[in-house]
Amino acid sequence: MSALIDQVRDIAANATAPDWPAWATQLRERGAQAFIRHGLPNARVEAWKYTPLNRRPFGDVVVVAGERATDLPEPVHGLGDVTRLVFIDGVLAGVDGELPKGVNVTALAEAIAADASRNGEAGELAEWLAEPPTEHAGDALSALNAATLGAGAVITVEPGVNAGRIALEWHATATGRGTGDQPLVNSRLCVALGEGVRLSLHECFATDGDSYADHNLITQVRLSKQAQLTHSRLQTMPAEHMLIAANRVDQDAESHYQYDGLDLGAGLARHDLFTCLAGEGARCDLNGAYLPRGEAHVDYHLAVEHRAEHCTSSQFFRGVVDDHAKAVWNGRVHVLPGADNTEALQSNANLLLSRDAEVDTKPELEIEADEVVASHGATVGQLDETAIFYLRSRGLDEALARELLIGAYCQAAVDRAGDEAVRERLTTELARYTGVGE
Amino acid sequence: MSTANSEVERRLEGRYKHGFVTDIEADSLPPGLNEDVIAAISVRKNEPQWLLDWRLGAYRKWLKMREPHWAHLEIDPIDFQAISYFSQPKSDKDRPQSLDEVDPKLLETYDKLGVPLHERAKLAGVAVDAVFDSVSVGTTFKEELKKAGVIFCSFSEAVQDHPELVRKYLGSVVPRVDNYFAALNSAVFSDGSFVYVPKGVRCPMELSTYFRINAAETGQFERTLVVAEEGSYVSYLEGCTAPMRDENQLHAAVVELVALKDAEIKYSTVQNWYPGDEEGKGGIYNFVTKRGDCREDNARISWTQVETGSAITWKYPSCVLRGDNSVGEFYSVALTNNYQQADTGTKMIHMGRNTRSKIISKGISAGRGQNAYRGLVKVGKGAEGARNFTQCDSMLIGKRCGAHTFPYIEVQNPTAKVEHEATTSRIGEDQLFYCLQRGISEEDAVSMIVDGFCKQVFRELPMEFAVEAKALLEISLEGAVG
Repeated sequence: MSALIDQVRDIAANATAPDWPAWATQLRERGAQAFIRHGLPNARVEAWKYTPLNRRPFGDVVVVAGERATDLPEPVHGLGDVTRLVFIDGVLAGVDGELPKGVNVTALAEAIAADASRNGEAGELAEWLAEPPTEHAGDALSALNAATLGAGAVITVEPGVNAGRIALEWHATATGRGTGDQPLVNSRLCVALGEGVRLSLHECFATDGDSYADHNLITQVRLSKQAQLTHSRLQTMPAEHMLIAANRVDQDAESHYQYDGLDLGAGLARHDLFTCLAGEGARCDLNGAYLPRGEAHVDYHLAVEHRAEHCTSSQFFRGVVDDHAKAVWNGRVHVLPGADNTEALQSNANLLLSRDAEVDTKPELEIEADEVVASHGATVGQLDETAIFYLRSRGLDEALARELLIGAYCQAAVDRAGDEAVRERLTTELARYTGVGE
Repeated sequence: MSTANSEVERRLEGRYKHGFVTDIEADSLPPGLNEDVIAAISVRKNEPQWLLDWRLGAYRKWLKMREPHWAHLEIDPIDFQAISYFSQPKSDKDRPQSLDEVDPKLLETYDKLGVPLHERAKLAGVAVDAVFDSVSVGTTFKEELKKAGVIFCSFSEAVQDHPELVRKYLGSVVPRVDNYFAALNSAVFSDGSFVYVPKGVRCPMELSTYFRINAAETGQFERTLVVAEEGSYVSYLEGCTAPMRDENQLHAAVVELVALKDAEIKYSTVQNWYPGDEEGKGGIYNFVTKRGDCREDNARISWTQVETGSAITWKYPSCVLRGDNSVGEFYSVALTNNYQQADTGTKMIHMGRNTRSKIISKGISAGRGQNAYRGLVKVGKGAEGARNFTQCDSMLIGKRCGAHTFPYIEVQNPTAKVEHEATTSRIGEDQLFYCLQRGISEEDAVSMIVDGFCKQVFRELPMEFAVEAKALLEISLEGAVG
């Protein structure tokens, strides 16, 4: 822990990049100071109550070199012929395939440097990067990300473009996997969709080979009027890996954001999904399934802020927790004064399969407007023994019966995926994981 | 809806009915808190040394503790040195031997409150232990209870007459330094009620306490301890009021319940402390720690509360389900109007096998009221077959109020079944319209809808209390439709 803080001190001391505007250096310094002040969150920090990081070993923080690789690794997205953005150690290594017209992808460091040409005046990008990516202010991991600002990309789509499907792959170069001192990669994505744009963005992680890294990612999304983003994330990292991912989405009127997550790996996966419905009639649907096994720990922290009238939000998550695994789910809906005619639904259901596993769930509602329909439900239970009996009476053995039921339980979340090809991919991965596909 | 709105406003302006001050000479300690004050309280109550040590231990720890700020509440800073920690009616010096000798002014107070001791006792068969400021004034039906072997007396009397029981159970459910306000209470508690129901006894009547804060600049720190021995049953009711004052007054109580094998305790509260005026000025800070321990197998503890008063309520009546097959229940109606704030809920800690718990919480927010449900359902590793069902519903009346739900669910046993559901809604114009076109007045319609909303909780209350609770809710809310 103190080693990490020492590293961040060093990073702060070298925060100045020669071709960067002053605001970017300041962002790095502020991030470093905030991280030094807070340290890694312990169990007394409410947002990290069930996922304290202060006792977890942290490897070296990777500071970005910012070079592009010449040879891109093999695709891992499994979606067939789609354009992919390849990130290696958090840095945009290249764009593989043709980008649709009107879609622009720039490495974050380049975008920041380009901003410097405007006489050092802080522009839109500066303001955007300074926004807190999570709902809980003073988040140490976001601060750490800011301290190393530079890796990542800016994706913008011009109004009216149907941008189709883009895959986004996270690769790493470090070798010696399993030694417990994996490096920590920080990266940031900024996605801005113009009016009426449609895009499906599928994120996945390289899992084969010897390379490894912990990832601390921030994704910031801005949706203009009537823009639609389907954002899916398939997380199949090896058990030694850690993923910390904070997503912030700002939505204008009648826009639609959909998140479809499937967590099948990682020793620790933490997802913060923070969505602000700021324009009238905006809608967001957050779906996911997580099936931690072994010693895995999955934590979903969702926060939806209803700031405008006639907005709709839904949260639908299914979890199956086995062995010594632990699942944390914190869904929050905040309806601000004036956000009348809001509709907000939350559902989190969990199966607890093992004596040593644990589920901590907390569906929160904060309502400060009337004319609101809000409901939430959370359950923790077991597989239905009568269903197992039924399947066995049809000639299936018990193990297969259980696999089928577990798969079906999570399939309910996967079925909601907004992009058909992604849905198929998630379905295949889920079946492989639960054993039904073999 | 404009006529409805003016009606609403008129109704919402309804005055606090119990805001009178009784002019009685009181023996009070000057404001301030230190070890001497605690010693003075202890001396006045003729307490044994161990209890003084216990108080001082709590006080020393309290000094090192920090006021909690995690609740969804806005609390003006409390000056603990400005509070008088002890106040008792002077006439206590020649303490009345029976109810007939009680200061008629006091009895008048209770009459105004609608607790006519005699009548109520006779008609309803209720034994009342009335706590006025910090001293228990008179306990009715003592003799009848004595025959059954039930001990029901003020806490001070229990310390004198049954020190071994007090010493055995005091602090065994809520440790003296459990939290900031419990520690404060442990240091300065002045009185409260003590109930002991011996083995196999079904308490022949419902027991009741009525609290009232009368003197200005005093806090009330009562301590209630209820012990139900093997196979016994007791139902205990408490009601609270306070006069209208501009300053905030502090009420930091601790209630401990111990249910042994096969025992059952039913604890009901109707809380109507002064909520402050329409501007949010004054009112009681009600910071209460209530916890029940189902210590042995098949024990059962049920909390029912109707919270309509207090400027701020911070209260989580909880059950520790230690014994196998033990049952915990929590039924709550919390209403906040004007500038009232409530952060209330329960904790159900499942430790024994086949333990069951049920939580029904109904929050109603009107005016600028803020109402939060905060609950924890925890199923420990050993709680095989534990079962919980939670339902918490919120109703919003008006545009400036808030309803919040923070349910924590922690499950560590794979045989447990935990279900939580919650809804937030308002009184719909369509519902009102339906009633109106059936010839039901708007006021009656709202009353019906709110009553229906709260029914699951009201039916858990003993009859007289249910009537009182319903009336209280109507006074606070009638016709309140935005």
